[in-house]
Amino acid sequence: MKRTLTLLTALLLAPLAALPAADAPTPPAKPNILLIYTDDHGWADLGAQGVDRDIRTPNLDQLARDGVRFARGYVSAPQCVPSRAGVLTGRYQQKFGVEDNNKGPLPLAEMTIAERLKPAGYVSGQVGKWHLEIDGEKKSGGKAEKSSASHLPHAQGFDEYWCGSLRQYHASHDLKSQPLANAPQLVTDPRFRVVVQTDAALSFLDRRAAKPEQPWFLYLAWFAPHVPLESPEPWFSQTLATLPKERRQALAMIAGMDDGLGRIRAKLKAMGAEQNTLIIFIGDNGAPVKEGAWDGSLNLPLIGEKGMLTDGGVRVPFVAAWPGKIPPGQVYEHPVISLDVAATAVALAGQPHDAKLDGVNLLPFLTGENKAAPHDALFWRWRSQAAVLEFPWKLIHLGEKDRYLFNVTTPEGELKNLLAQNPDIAARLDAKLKTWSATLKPPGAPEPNNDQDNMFFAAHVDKTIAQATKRRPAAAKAAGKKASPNGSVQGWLCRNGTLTMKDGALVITPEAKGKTTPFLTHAGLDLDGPVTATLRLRAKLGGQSSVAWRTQEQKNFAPESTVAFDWPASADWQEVKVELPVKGRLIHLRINPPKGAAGIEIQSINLHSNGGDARAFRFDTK
Amino acid sequence: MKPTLTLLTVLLLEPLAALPAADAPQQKPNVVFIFTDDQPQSAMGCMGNPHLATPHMDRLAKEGVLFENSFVTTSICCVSRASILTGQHMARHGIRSFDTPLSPGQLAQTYPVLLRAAGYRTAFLGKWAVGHPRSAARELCLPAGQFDLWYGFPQTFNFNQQGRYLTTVMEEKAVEFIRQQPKGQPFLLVMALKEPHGPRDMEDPALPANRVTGPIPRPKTLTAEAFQKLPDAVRQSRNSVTPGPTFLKDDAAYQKGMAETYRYISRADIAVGRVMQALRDSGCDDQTVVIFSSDNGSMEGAHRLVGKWNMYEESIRVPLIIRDPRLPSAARGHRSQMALNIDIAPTILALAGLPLPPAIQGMDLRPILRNPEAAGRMDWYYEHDVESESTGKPLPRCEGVRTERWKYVRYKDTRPVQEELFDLQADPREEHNLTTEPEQAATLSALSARCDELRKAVR
Repeated sequence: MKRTLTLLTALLLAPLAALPAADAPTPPAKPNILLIYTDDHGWADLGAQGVDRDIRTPNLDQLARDGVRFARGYVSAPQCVPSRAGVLTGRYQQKFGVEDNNKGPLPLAEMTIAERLKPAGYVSGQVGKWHLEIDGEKKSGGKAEKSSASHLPHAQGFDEYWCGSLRQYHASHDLKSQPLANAPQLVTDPRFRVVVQTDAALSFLDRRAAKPEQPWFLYLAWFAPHVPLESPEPWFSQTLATLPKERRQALAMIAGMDDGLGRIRAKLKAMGAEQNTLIIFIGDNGAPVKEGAWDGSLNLPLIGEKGMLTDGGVRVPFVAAWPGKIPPGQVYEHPVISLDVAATAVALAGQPHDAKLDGVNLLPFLTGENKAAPHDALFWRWRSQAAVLEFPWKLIHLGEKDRYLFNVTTPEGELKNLLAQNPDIAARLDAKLKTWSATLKPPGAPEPNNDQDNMFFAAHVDKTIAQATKRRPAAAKAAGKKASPNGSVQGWLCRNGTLTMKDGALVITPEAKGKTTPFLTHAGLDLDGPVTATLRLRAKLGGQSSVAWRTQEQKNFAPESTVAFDWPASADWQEVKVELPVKGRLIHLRINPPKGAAGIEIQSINLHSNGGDARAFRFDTK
Repeated sequence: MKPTLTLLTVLLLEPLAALPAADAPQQKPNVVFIFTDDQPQSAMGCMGNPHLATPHMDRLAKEGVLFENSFVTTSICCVSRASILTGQHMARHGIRSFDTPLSPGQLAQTYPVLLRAAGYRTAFLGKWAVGHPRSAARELCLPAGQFDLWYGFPQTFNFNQQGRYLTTVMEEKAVEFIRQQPKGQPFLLVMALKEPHGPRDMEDPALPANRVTGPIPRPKTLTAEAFQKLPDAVRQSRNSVTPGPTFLKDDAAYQKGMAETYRYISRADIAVGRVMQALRDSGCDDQTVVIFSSDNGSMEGAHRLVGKWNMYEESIRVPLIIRDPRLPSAARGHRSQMALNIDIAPTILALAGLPLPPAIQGMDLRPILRNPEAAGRMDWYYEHDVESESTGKPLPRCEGVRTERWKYVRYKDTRPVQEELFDLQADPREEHNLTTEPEQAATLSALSARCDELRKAVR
C-alpha cells in the first residue's frame, strides 16, 4: 500500500518534485548567503553580458539564468581595499575613512556582515583575498606572515577562514577540514590559486553539511584575474592563440573561477542547500587596462578603468540567484550597489535594520513586490574624484579641475559632457553630492587633482592624450594582426588585393600592378532576405560601387543579384545604406569598391535581415 | 646520386613540400564522419537486429571495424556533440546547457577547425546544436565561417526544408562536395543527420516500403515491475512518463512508434549508402576513412523509460563503425574494447597526422583498429549534469563508472544518496541493483571511490 501511495503522490505532485523529500535534512529557517567577490574583473567578462565573444562563463551565465543579472550593478569604489571595506560593512567606506588602498585597515569597530549575522546564529567563513589588514599587502612586502594578525578575518567576525591571495594562507582549517592548532596558522599551497581557494570554499561547505540546521555566510574572494597573471591548465590552452597573452591568461583564470562556481553549486545541490542559499557574485572593481598594468580583462563598452568613477571603474559583473525565491531569468535594470549585500543579508537573517547601513534589502525588488528603484542616488568619492548617479544622470568631479555631467543610458554617454546644456540638473546633483560628502570622514570635496587621475580622464573621457591603453586587445589585435592564414578579417576576404587593419578600419590595398579591382567577400553568412547592408566607409577617390549576393539556392553569383551604390569620396566617415532585395537565404556577399579607387577604408559592415537576423562586423572596436 | 637528386628536388620544390614525395608516407586520408541523432546501438542489422534494413551501415561494418562496446560520456546531444568536437568530457568543455557555445578558443581546437588549418577542405552538414543563436554569438553557435561548406542547423529544425526532405538536400550537398574535391587536397565531410530525432514533421516520400519488419520485440524490462525497482530519482524523472511515451501505452502503440523510429533510421542508412557511392564514383573510397556513430542512444521503453540523459545501457550505447580502407583485411571485424565519443576527435586528428591539443581527453583508436588485441581502457567516467528547465519533471543529475563488467551509478542530488550497481556480465539488462548485497560491498566501495577519483581526473 505504502508503495502505491508513494507512486501516486509522485505522479500527482510531479511539479513539486523539486521539493526536498521528507527524509532530507530540515533546512534552517534562515537562508545561507554566499558572497563571491572577484578581483579586477571587468564588465565585459561575464558571458551573459554578450559583449565579448572570447569570454565564456557557462556557470556564471547559468547562475544569471537561474536568478538575476544586474545591468547596472555598481561597487562603492574603483579599487580593492575600499570596495571590500564597503561590501563587507554595507556602508560607504569613506564614512570610516577607508577611502583608498592606502587608508586601511578596516577598523575593528566597524560591523562586518559576519558580525551582523552572528546574533542570528550564523557561522561565517572567509576564503581568499582579504586586503583589509594593517598596512595592506603593499607595505608588508607582499609577505603575508609579516602583516599583523590583529585585523585578519577572525578579528572581524569570521569563525573560519582561508585567508590569502597567492600561495600562503592564514587558515583556521586545512583543506581536509581538520582544525589547525594555534589558528590562524600559516599554510602554503603551491597550486593555481583559484583552484586552491575553490577547494577551501568546498571544505567550508563540507563542514556545514555536518550541521545543516545552522545557517552560514561565506565570503569567497577569489584572487583573479588580478595580476600576477597565470596560465592555468586546462583552461589556458583552450583560449585563442591569436589573442594577446594577457587576454588569454585572464580568460583562463576567469574560466578557473567559473569552473569553481560550477563545483560549488553542484556541492550546494548535493547538500540539499540549493534552495536555501542566496548566491551573489560581484567583481570588486573594473579592470585596469592601462599600458603595463593590464590584467587581461575588459570593461568594454564602458568608459574608463580601475581607478576611475566612470562606469568602467565601478560598474561590474553582478549576478544573484536564489532558486525558488528570486524569479529566474531576470535582467534587473535599476542601479544597485555592492552595499546592498549587507542590508539584504541582515534582513534575510531576520535582524533589525540598522540605519547605519547605506544599502537596501534587494529581495522585495527582485521578487517584484517593490517595483520602484531601490536607490534615489548612488555616491562615490575616491582620491581626487567624486560622483553621484541619479539615473540616468551622473555628475563627476575631478578635483578642482573639471566637472562632467553624463547621461549614462548609453555606454558612450560618458564621452559626452552635457554640463553646459543642463545647468539645473548639474546643480541638483551637486547639491546631493555635497550633502552626502558632508557625512564622510573627512567631510567635503575630494582630494586635489593628481596627475594620475587627470591622465585617466584625459585618456578615456576627454581623449586629449594618446590612448593610455595600448594593450587592449582590439588595438593589440589590430597592431600585431596576423590575420588568419588566408588573410581574412572576421571572415571577410579580399580578392585581387590585401586587407590590413589600420586605425580602427579595414584598409583594402590592390595588388601591386593589379589590373583587376579588388573586392571583399564573405562566404559564411546566413541571413533571410531582404537584407539591409549599412556600411561605414570612406575613400580618397570614390565612385560607382556595388554589393552582390548569392543565396543558398544559387551556385554562382547571378547578374541580377547586385545593387549599385555610390562610394562617396570623403575624408570623413560616411554611412551608406544599401537595400538588398534578396529572395531566400543570403549566404555569400561581395562588396565591390569603385574601379581605380584609392584609399578605400571600411569601419563597419552591418547586415540586417527583415527576419530579425543580423551580422555586425566592426573593425573599429576599442 | 639518388640522395643528391632528392635533396636538390627538395630545395627546388620547397613551396611544393606539402605534396607527397614518392617515398614519403602516404597522402593524408580523407575523413567522412556521419552520425545520427538518438540512434540506439541496437538499431542496426550488423548488431543483430533483423527488424530494420541498414544494409549500408552493415556493409561499412563488414568492410571496417565495428565497436561492440561504444558509449557516450554524457547522453544528451548538446553535451555529446561538444565532446565529439573537442575530445573532452563535459567537466572540461563546460557545455552544460543548450545555450552555451564553445568559446572561440575551444572552437579553434575542435577537430574540423584543426583539420582545415592543416589544409583539409571541410564541410559540415546538419545539426550542430552546440550553443543556441538565441542566446550567444551566431558565429559561435553556427560557425559557418569555420568550414568551406556549411549547411548547419541549431538544436531544433524540421525535416521539411521548403517541401524537400532535409536529408535529401544534405546528400546532394555531400555528393557535390566530394565530386568537386580538388586533386591533391584531402577533405573532411561531417554529416550530422537528424534521423531519428523529432520533430518528425515529414518522412521521406521516396523511402522504399518494407524497410521495417515487425513485430518489433518489446524490451524485456518494459514492465511495471522493472520500473518499480528503479531508484526514486529515476522514477520521478522526466524519463518516466508523459508527454513522450504515448508509444508505451500498449503494444499497438509501441509497434507504431518503433516502426516510425526504425523507418527514420533506415532512411539515415540510405544517406550512408549515397555518400559511400559518391566516394566510389569519384575514385577516392580507397583513401577515405569513414566513421559512423550517433550522438547518444535512447531508452525506447527499457525499464519503462524514454529519452536519454541517464546511464542505462540503452541510453549510453551508440553505434561506432570505422572503415579505414588502408588497413589489411585481417584487421576488419568486431572489437570489444570500450570506445567513447571523446575518442572520435583524437582518432580523426591522428588519422590526419596532426598533434593532439593538450586538453584532449579521449584516446586515439588507431591501435585498436590495427590490432584486435590492442589494450583498451579499463574504465571510464559518465556524467549527466545538464540543468533541467524550471518547468517539467526533473532530470536527476548523475555520475558513474563503467568497467567491462561493472556499472556504478550515483544520483548526485539525492539524500540519502541513491546508487546503482550492476554486474553487466550476469545481468546485461540491469535488472538487479546490487548496492545492498553484502557480498558486493567491496566492489561498491571501490567503484564509488573510483568515481570520485575519475571526477577529479576529468576536470
